[in-house]
Parts: sequence; structure tokens; C-alpha cells
Amino acid sequence: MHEKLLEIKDLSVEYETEISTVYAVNGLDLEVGYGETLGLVGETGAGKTSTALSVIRLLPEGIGFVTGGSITLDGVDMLAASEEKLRSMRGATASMIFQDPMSALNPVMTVGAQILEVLKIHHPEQSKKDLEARVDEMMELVGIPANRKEEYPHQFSGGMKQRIVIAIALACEPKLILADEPTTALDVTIQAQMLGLINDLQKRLGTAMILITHDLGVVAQTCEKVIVMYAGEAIEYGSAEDIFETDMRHPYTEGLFNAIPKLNEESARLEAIDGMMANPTVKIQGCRFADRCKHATERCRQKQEMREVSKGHIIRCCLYDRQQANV
Amino acid sequence: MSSNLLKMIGKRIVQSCITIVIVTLFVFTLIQMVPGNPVANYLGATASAEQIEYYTHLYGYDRPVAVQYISWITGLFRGTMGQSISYQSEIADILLPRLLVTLSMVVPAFIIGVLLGVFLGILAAQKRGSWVDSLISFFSNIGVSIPMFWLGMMGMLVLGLKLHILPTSGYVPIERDPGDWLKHMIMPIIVMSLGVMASFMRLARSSMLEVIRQDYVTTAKAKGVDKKSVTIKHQLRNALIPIVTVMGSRLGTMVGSTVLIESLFVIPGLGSVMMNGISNRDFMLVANGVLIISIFVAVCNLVVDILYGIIDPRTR
Amino acid sequence: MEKNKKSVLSRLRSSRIFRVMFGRKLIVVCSVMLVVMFLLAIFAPLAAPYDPNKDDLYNVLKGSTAEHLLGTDSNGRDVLSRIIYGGRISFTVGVVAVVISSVIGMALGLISGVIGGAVDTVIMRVMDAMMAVPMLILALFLGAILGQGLGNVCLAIGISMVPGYARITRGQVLTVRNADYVTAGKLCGGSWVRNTIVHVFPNCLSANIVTMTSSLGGAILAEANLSFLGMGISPPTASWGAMVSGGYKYLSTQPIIAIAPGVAIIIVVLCFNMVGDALRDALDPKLRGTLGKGRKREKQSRKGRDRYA
Repeated sequence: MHEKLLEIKDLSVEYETEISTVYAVNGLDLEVGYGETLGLVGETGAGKTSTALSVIRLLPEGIGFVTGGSITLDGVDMLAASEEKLRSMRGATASMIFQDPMSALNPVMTVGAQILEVLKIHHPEQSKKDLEARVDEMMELVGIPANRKEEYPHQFSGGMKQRIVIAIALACEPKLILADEPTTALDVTIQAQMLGLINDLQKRLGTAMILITHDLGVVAQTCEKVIVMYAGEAIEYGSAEDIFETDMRHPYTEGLFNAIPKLNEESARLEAIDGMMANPTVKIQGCRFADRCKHATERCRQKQEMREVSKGHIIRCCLYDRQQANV
Repeated sequence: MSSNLLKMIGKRIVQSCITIVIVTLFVFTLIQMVPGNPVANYLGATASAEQIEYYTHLYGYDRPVAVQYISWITGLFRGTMGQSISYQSEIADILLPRLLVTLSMVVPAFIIGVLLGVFLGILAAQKRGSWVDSLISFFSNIGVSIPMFWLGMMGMLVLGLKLHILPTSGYVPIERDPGDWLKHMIMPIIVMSLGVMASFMRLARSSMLEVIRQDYVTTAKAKGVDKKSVTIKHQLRNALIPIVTVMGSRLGTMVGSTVLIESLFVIPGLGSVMMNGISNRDFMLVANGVLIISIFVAVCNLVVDILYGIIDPRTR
Repeated sequence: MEKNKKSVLSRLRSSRIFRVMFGRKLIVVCSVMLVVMFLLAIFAPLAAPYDPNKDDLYNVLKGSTAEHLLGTDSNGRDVLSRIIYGGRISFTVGVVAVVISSVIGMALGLISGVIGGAVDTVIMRVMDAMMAVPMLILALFLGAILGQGLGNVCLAIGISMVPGYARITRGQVLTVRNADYVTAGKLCGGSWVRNTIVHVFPNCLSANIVTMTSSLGGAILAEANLSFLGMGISPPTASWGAMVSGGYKYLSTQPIIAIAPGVAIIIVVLCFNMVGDALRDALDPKLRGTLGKGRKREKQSRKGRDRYA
């Protein structure tokens, strides 16, 4: 048995559109241990969702391609696995919670049938009655009365739908949950509830999770490890404490922190990060954030390696090299 | 069936009735706009004044317009449609048997066209970007652009005149000789079904492509559902919703196009009798034909709405 | 894995062919074709080799010859010349009918959507009633009552296409009506007439423009249908539908008389439909980028980079 549940090495993902090639993920390394929670942080278009979809090999067919690297999930080489093997793993070994619960459920199937479906696929040996009982159990687990399983998605509110999506994702007790911004589409009050629910169930079932979000607050609440992504690259990696309680962050992460409103400080205006995300259709050699970075120097035009600033906390930036040399 | 569905059906029946009433008003008003006396129009310049007066009185055209309209409408409830000037008999007796002839051609053509069209459209969407898709899209584009009468003529030319497989035109009642009836019906049915097939291919393809990129399809795949089940359980049922919606009006269009097919293949159906009415300037006959077709369309739309309610739980 | 890779590759390869052959280039070809047909129709007296209506009883029903490329009809008239002149009727009816139907339809849709209430109900019920009658039957009935002639044919086809525009416009008005920028216009104190013209109307246009392009083909087809049934343009004026109908009798001896004008109809209608589709796709942002870009991907995969696609 591998020590790590998920190992991604040097992953590259590209999208081919009619107009251009989009380099969505560029040489990403990532590890998730059994039962561990990893936060994947970054703004829209940073390649977070592409990474998650690559893990279960569900990039949009004919448009998104894994062009390099390796993905090993629970000891299985996901890039070499047969379609059949992949199918048997989707939903059972790794499952996904999608961003928008409004569109993630099939409008013409009852919610009960949609939960039952995943159980039926992965537990064909069990009787229908047992599976139905499991559906009831799952619905109660996510806080929806089981007698509503004959209803259709449009009869539920957004938060309720997300609970159903979570029930589907957890029904087969997967080893890994890929939660793609599970709370973004929901009201703030429901967001907290939903995170609590996911976290609680995850702890109870011992499931590992990759939580994709652009909300650092969410990461602080739930994650042990954090990866910050920018323009398809990991630019910072460490434990939650490393990143939240340090002075040596990547300038981009710093910018993200400054963009969070602080209750204890009187400030008129939030600091935004100037400029736009690097053009994803162009391959850049040096630091992708350089154009927006106020610390940028000539050195940033060269290829940047990941470097450790403190134990277990690594960043892809040369800003602190000098300081460390001085110490 | 839930009470909501029943309520919806009730509401739609009332709506259809209103539509039909407006159609009767509409066609009746249009007939009144034809200049001159309808009897004189039919009899032509050679008719004597007495003749015209006699027939005008006989058919009731000397009554006030409102009275004519009311007597037409009340007649409809008794199953009469008034007298045809050109056929000299009750219009319902002329039109209804011919409606059956028309439907015996339209219904099979429609079923064949829809089934094949939807199947091929889905196939094209599944294999989007491949040569199968190009081929299907190409034929559906041509199919919706071909004039039906021309296609019919080409059928006659190739299958009838060159290959001698099928009769070029004509009609044999089914009760006289079912085999011969079928032989005469094959070509009109094929020609009509090709047009419907082409338009349903386009519709099914685009509707399927729309569904393919929906999030719930990814959800299903992420559950480990196999390709066939994704297509059937998750995509097809959702893709059918817009397809079902247009079925009613497409069936109506098809009944309309029988004027072309029946004129071309010399089939004594509703379309050809309406063409006779037009060339004889027997507008009451034509107006009743239009009414029958619109009632047929309304009924089809009602059936479609019920089907729609069954397929899409959101309408319940 | 190997098999999977192969199938995707071959699909991408053929999708490139599809896109180049049937994609943008086809739209260009269609547009050029339409322009050529349109110019031929406008300059018919210069383009046509013969007078389309001049009978030549010594040269009746001649097949394709050097003098008469597409042969002659039962009156000895040159079929090619008649097709070129027939384009005038088709394009005129197409354009005029679409203008009539879109102007009336958009006006009704705007009134219905903006005023609402009883006016809306009455207009939409009448549109429903018109839609309950198949377009061809409606046009035929109107044509029969109005009588033959170019103007009446345009009017009959135009009116039969009104409900489509009215419905689309009303739908657009209803979605636009409560949009913030329209509310903002109201708050600025603009009258509702101004508001409708400046803010609501332009937003209904794009949906209607697409409909107009594809209904050009529909109107031309409708004219052909009416003329085929003898309810269109009065003879001897050349019209494609009537020419097919005239060739019916000589189908076994000189089929080209019926075939040629039919091909002309197909080309024009097909081109209008294709351009209309392309326009719709271009105007629908949802559809952008749904097709992968095959060419470059294929090049890369040849280099062996595309291991896992």
C-alpha cells in the first residue's frame, strides 16, 4: 500500500479551443495523505478545477487534455487505467462535489434515484432493499428527511440540493472527495453549515479531501495543508499554520490576504491586486505573477523553482532568497 | 397523475378552445373580404341573374353576415359545416373521409421521420466532429432546404419512371386492395418523412449537444455511470424535452404540406380537396378545411403538452 | 489506453477536416454563392442568354445543347434564362415577405410585451390562432383570397410568418423589460416610448436578425410551394416553383426542365439556412469554443506529446 492516497507529479493540462490553446495547469505537484484535507486556493482560472477533473479523468472530452505528468490515486496510475477501471473508481474511490448544486443534479430524476444510482453501480451485490435503506441513511446523514427522496431537484432549495450532491459523493464512502468550491454558489449562512457538514462527515468517515476554493477563510477553518495556485502553477505549499502565521509568503498570497476585510483594523479600502491574471494561452518562462508583483526584479524573468522558506513551507519566489542569505 | 397535471390539462383545453374560436372568426372574416357574391364567383360570368339569386338564397348567402357566422358555428356542433357550392353537398361529408386518407399518410410518415431523425441526431451529437456527424449534418441541412414537391418528383422519376419499382402516382382505397394501397402510399410517405427526419435530426443534435455539456452529466460520470447509461438515463431524457415540444406544430406543418404531396401524387385527401376548393373559389369549403387542420393541430399540441408534463417533472 | 488514444486522435483528425471543409469555408462558399445568385438576378438582362418569355416553337423541349445549356421548355423558352430571371421573383419575395413579417411581427411583439394586460392577451391569442394553421395553408388561404400577383404573394407569405416574430420579440421584451438598464432608463425620466425605442427594442433585434436570415430561405421555399400549386406569380413570369410544376408533364422525356429549377431553389435555401445557422452560433456566446481545435493538437500529438489525451 502506498503511503499517499493521491500523488500528482508534474501535471500539465491543456484546453484546445477553436481560437487558441489554453495552458490550464503547468507542472503541478501535489500529494494528499489518507484522511488528509488539502486546500487548493486560487482565483478563477488558476487551474484548480482542471486539476480536480484530471484526477478522475473527466476533463471535457475532446477539449481538455492531460499533456504530461502522472497521477496516482490509491496506487492506481490514473493516466494508464482502462476506462472500466476508471469507472469503478469514480464515485467509489474518489468522488466529486460540484460548484453549482443548481445544475449538478439531473432535473428529470428523483433525488432518491440519483443517490441510489451510485450505490447500485458500486454495490451490485447488495439487495435493492439494502440499497434503499442506505439511501435513506445518507439522506438523514446530510440532514434531509428520507421521505423526500421521491421528490425532484427543482423542489429543493440550493442548500438542500448541495446536501443531496454531498450525499451522492459520500454514499460509497470514497477515500477522496474532490470538493470544487462547494459553497460558492450558496448563501453565506448556508456556506458555514455546508462546510461544517462536509468536515463533520469527512472526519467521521475518515475520508481525505481536496477542497477547492478562492476563500482563504474557508481554508483556515477546514484544511491541514494548503496549496496556492496561480496561472496553472503551485506557487506556495505548506501547512495551514505555515501560510497563515508567517511573514514570508509568496507576494501573490500576500495580496490575497490583503484583499480580506479585517474587522480589527480601520481601513477605508481593501487592497486589490493590480492587473489581470497572466494570459493562459501564452507559455511564460519566468514567474507568472511578475507583471503584477510590486517586488518584481530582473531575476523574476528566469524560471523560478520552489524553495523552502521554513520547514515544510515552500514557495515559488526569489523574494526571500536574499534575506535568508543575510541571516 | 397528479392534480397539478390535470389542472394544467384543463387549462390547456380551455386555451385550445379559445384558439379554435379565434380561428373560426379569422377565416370567416377573410372569406367576407373576397369581393363579390360567392355564388356568382363560382358560377362565373355566364350565369343568369335568376340562377345567381336562386343559389344565393339556397345556400343562405343573402342572410346578414353575423347570422351566417352563427349558423356556421352552431352547425359545427351538430356535425355539419354548411353546403359546398362546387360539390353541391354537405362539406363535412366531403372533408372528413378525406381527412382519414390524409392522416393514413401523415401519421406513418411522421412516426418514421421522428424516430429516425431523433436517432440519427443523437448519433451525430455523440460522434460530434467525426465524419458521421458531418454526413448527418450535411444531409439534414439539405433535407430542410429541399422543396417537398421537387423531392416527390425526383422520387417519381427515379423509382417510378426509371426503375419501375413503384407507381408514379394515384391512389387505391385500402378496403379495395391493401397491397396496392401500400404500393401507392410508399413514395408519398417516404418523401414526407424525409423532410420531418431532416428537421428532427437538426433538433435532436443541437438539443443533445446542449445537454452533453450540462453539469449533471459530469455528475453522472463522476458517479462511475457507464457511457450507455449516461446517454440514455441522463442525456436522452433531458434532450427529449425540447424535441417533444415542437412535435405538435411539426405534425401540423406536415398536414399542411399534404396540399403539395396530394396534388403531386394525385391522392384524394384533405389537401387536394382544399386545392380544388381554391381553384373553384369555393371558400367555405377551404375555410372548413383550414378549421379541421387547426383543430387537429390544437389536439396534437394538447397531447404534446401532456407528454411534456410526464417527461419534465418541473411542469407538474 | 492505446485504443482510446487512437480513437480520439482519428476523431480529432476528421474533426479538422470537418471544420475546414464544412465549417467556416462552407459559410464563405454559401455567402459567395448567394451574392452570385443575387447579382445574376439583378443583372438578369445581361446575364441571361435569351429572353425568358420568348416562345420559340421550332425549338420545343430540346434537351441540353450548346445553345441551350439546360434545354428548352414546352414553349421553347430557354430554361437557363428562365432560372436566372426566376431568381428575381425568389429574392424579391424572400426579402419583401421577411420585411413585412418582421416589421409587423416586431411591432406586435413590442406592443404586446411593453403594454401587457388585455392588449397582450388579445394579440397573443390571435397569434396562437394563426400558428394553429400551418404556414403553407395560411399563405395559400390568404393568397387565394388576395388573388395572384407578386405583391399579394409577398403579403400572403409575409402575414403567415408574422406570429413567429411577434412571439420572439415579446419573449425578448419580457426578459429585457425588467433588466436593470431599462429600469435605469425609466428612473432617468424617459417616457416609455423613448424607453422602448432606446433600451428595449435594440435588445430584441439580435434574436430577430437570426430569424430573419433563416426565414429568407423559408419565404423563398413558400413562394416555390405556392407557385408550384399555381397560386403564386401569374404566368408567363418565370418562377422556380412554377417551372418545376411546368416540367412535371415532361418528367419522363425531358426531366431537366423540372430538375434544374429545383436545384436552384435548394442552393439558395440551403445557403440562407447555413448562413443563418452560422449567424446564430456566432451570436450565441454559449456555443463559443464548444469544439476543440483539432489542427494544432494533431501536430503536437504527432510529436508524441499527447500521451494521455
